[in-house]
Amino acid sequence: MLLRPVTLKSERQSRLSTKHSTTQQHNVEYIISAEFDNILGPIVKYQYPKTIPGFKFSSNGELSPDGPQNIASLMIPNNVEKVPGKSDFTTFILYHNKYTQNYQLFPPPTYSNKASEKSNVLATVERKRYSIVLEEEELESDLTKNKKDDLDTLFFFNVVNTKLDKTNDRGAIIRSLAIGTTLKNYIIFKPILTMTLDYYMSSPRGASLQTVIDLFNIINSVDLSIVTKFNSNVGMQRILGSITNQKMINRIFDPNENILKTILKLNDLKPIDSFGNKIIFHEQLISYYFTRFHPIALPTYFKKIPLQINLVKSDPIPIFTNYNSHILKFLEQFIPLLMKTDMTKNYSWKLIINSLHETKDVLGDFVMSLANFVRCFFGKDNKYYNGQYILIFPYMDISIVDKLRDFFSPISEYSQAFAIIGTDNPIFQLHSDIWDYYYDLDGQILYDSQTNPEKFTLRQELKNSSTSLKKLFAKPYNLTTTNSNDGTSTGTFSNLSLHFKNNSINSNRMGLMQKFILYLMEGHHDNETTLAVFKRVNLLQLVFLLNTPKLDSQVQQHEAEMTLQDEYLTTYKDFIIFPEFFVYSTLHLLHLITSFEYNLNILLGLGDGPASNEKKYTQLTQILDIVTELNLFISMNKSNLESFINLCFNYPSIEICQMYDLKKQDFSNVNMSTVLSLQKHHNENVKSVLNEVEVVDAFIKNFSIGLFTTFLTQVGGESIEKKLSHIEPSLSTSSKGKILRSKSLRRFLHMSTSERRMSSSQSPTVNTLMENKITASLKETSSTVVEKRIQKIKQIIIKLLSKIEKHPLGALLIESDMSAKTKTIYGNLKMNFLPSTPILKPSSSFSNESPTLSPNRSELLKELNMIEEQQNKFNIHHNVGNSENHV
Amino acid sequence: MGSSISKTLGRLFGSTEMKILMLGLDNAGKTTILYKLKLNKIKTSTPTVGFNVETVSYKNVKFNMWDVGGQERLRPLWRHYFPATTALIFVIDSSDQERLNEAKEELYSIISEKEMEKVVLLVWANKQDLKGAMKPQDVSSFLELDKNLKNQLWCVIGSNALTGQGLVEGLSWISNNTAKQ
Repeated sequence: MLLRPVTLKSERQSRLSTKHSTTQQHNVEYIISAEFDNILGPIVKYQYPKTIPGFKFSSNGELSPDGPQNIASLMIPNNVEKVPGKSDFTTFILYHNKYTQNYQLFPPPTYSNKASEKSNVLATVERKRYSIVLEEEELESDLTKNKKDDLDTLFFFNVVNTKLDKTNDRGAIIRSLAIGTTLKNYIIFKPILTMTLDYYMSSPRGASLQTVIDLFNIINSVDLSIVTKFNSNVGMQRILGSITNQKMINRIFDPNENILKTILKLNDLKPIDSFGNKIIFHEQLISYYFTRFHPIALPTYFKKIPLQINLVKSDPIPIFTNYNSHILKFLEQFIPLLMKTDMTKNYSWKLIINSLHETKDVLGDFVMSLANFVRCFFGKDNKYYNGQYILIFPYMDISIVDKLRDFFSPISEYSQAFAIIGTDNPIFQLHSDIWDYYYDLDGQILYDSQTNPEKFTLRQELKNSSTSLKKLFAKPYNLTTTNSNDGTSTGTFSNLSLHFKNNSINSNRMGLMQKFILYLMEGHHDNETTLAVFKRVNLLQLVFLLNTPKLDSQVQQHEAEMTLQDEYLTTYKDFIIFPEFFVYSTLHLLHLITSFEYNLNILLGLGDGPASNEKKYTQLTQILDIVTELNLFISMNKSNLESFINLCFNYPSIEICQMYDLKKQDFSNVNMSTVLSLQKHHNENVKSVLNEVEVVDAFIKNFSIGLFTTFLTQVGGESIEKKLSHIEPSLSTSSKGKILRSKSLRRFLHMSTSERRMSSSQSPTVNTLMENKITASLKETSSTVVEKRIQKIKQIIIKLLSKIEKHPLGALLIESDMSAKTKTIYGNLKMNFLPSTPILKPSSSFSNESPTLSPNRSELLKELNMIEEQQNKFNIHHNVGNSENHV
Repeated sequence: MGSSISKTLGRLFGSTEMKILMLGLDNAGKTTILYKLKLNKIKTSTPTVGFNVETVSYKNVKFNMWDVGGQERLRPLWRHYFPATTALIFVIDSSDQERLNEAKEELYSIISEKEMEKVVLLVWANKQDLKGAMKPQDVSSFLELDKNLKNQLWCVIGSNALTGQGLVEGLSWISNNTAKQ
């Protein structure tokens, strides 16, 4: 006997208003139920509102290759019978084949290379290195296209459970329910899906088609258009995903503030959706209550359970897992293997993640996390390297292995595709033809097909090698020394590579990404911090790549056709990529902001001398060009402005780029604590060594706004502090309200020595004296022409900051990154240069507060505050001493 | 290469590992046998969804035993478990005479695969405790292995997973006969 799945025409139209059914997209497109049949095995029981095209039983009862049994095997995963009463979750994706009009488990052939040709269109930009990058418009159009072709990809989120039942001849019933949706945040349905399955399994009335219908209708009874609108605002979501300060996030979503209303372009946040369902905004969550739904089978208490949705979408596919639990440990092993790969050949890899003991939920989240790190499901196509597709299969059963082989067959257009596949069956390890890397999640062992079946335990290798943390911190710090500059500027960092020895690339080296993964693991940081670190490493390495000649033979061989993203991956081989940084607008902005920093450093370093004014003028001209271009570019459209704000939220100190050759440096013996403590040292006049937790916190500090305010406060003109004393005396004498220290200037102070050494033997007093001397010398030697140029630059910077400030999230950036005193300076300058605009009042909302950190770092924060208090005491005493001497 | 080194070392130093594949129709008692061998306990509350894999040690031999679900739609998946198999254990419910022919067909379907032509075959005529259960000799005659398996080592042993009868004998036979290969 062959069971056939039962399907019914949707009753939804009769139960919901006409308006609802005709104008709104479904929240879920399909509900499927499956169960384990004691004779047959896993079977699909119901499909609602209709059979999924491509997953029908054939008329003669034979099983078709893409028949529902394939779905059933994904819905009733292996070993689920071993944990009765405990829900587990699997995810699978169905792709629409526009030629057969069917859905299938693997992406269909494209039958055309137009898409890949399009992505290789040359962009007319100033440097050849920018030559093959994805245009912002292309990326946006991909996303827009994705909206139109939403039904191309359906995400199925499935809950399964086992219930022991003595009346069953095999002692248990095993059932599952899956929702098929276009929504990438399908995880929001987890609670209602779990509850419905529980009812479906435990109630005698529950295991009926009506329960399935009710589930379909209850989910579709709410209007998620606000969420869709918010999530589809790509620029906004990128910025939100870059904010690590939880207080800032809370403020954005505070219903009493106007920020959310401004973003949503609404006059008021209504407490109901368009169907009349109750909505509650709470922090970054929006809760929908199924007020208008009238269930037939489901109990009425289902209406009281809200559908909670996070409005911040940090990842393309939101997940609940903590990266630190499993994922970083995997990356710690995986990236070194990738570093050894030869990318000159037809490069691709297939990775299988296997876990027999973890839940399928954990396994699926693991796979999706990795997918997020390479920004899969971000645009229309999941392309990774060299235009090749990357297949994401969160849970695969052995029944699908033949189809997987077909997908990768030499005659398939996906033969060179990448893949990340989750399984719960160790038999996959014996099918070594389908993988290059096999990761045993339970044992945390990574196997390489080249060395299989012998165990390749890199973890062990790492423990024994010089890269172990113990050895790393035991060794005295030894900094690579560089010459900074000769006082002339090229306007870019193009000569950076000249500072480094042209040593060959060591494939066993530890890259910057690996280095920070170790710190992230040590510090048990949260996901937001982890992503912030990865983004900054991406940006730093990108800056370095763009400003150094192509030395690598691998890159040179592909030069003609290689995109920047490919060049990046070929160079660093560290897996993680954020394509949003590889679009033209961001690259252009990145180029401008790094050039600004570079020129500012030089300007602040120019000393006295007859040629000083001329050099200053040259330098100021460079800066003027940069800020003019920057101002023009962000004024062009909202997208550019948002790209800039996002970049500002992620802009790291590029000091590391100046110190190390990021392409070649082996960071295993580099103590980042010492490197980054310079930043702390700059701020606090105290030499200190950062611990592992502080290293990450120091690394993710934003430097962008500080660069611009440095120019405002430190370059030229009448003493701003003097001016301020007339306006707001309390500020100029406040020990807490110090003008934001110029990191660039202080960096320069170190750079201007013939060799930049880390040994901070200079006392704080010496530093302060040097700084005062240079600032004074700048003032003294400023000619009228130079001063005019300075004023012009300041005017443009004020315009620039003012534009950022007009954006609801940009305003928060400025508010958080400016100290109270800098805000006052900025306000006054704004009044001078832009008299019609309101002055930004100093606010204590974010300034003088450290960003919200991982919970386990609160203790550290207390200590930092104590140190700060002691420093303030020291400064006060120091000042008193000086004034007495002066008197 | 790696596995052959492991085997050689195992023989030299008195221990070896082998992959055993245990197949049979649904409800034949495969999982009960596996956990009787592994834990000396009876675990029969649920059907097997997919597979079970456990390591059972016997006389310096580590048997990596794979027990794969026998439901109709799981049987086409058995072939995916063939790689690197040393011995096939086919479990038959001796009391379910109605499905004996079905079991025979499935068994021949497996051993006719090229990948399985060198494995040793043990048939456990299980559930000997049940009324009406066929004797091992009768099962053997029914299966006609002597006629059809000229080049392969095989053996039919009566078993009762609940008491453990015949299980150790089966493993011992595999251990002795694979060592000769």
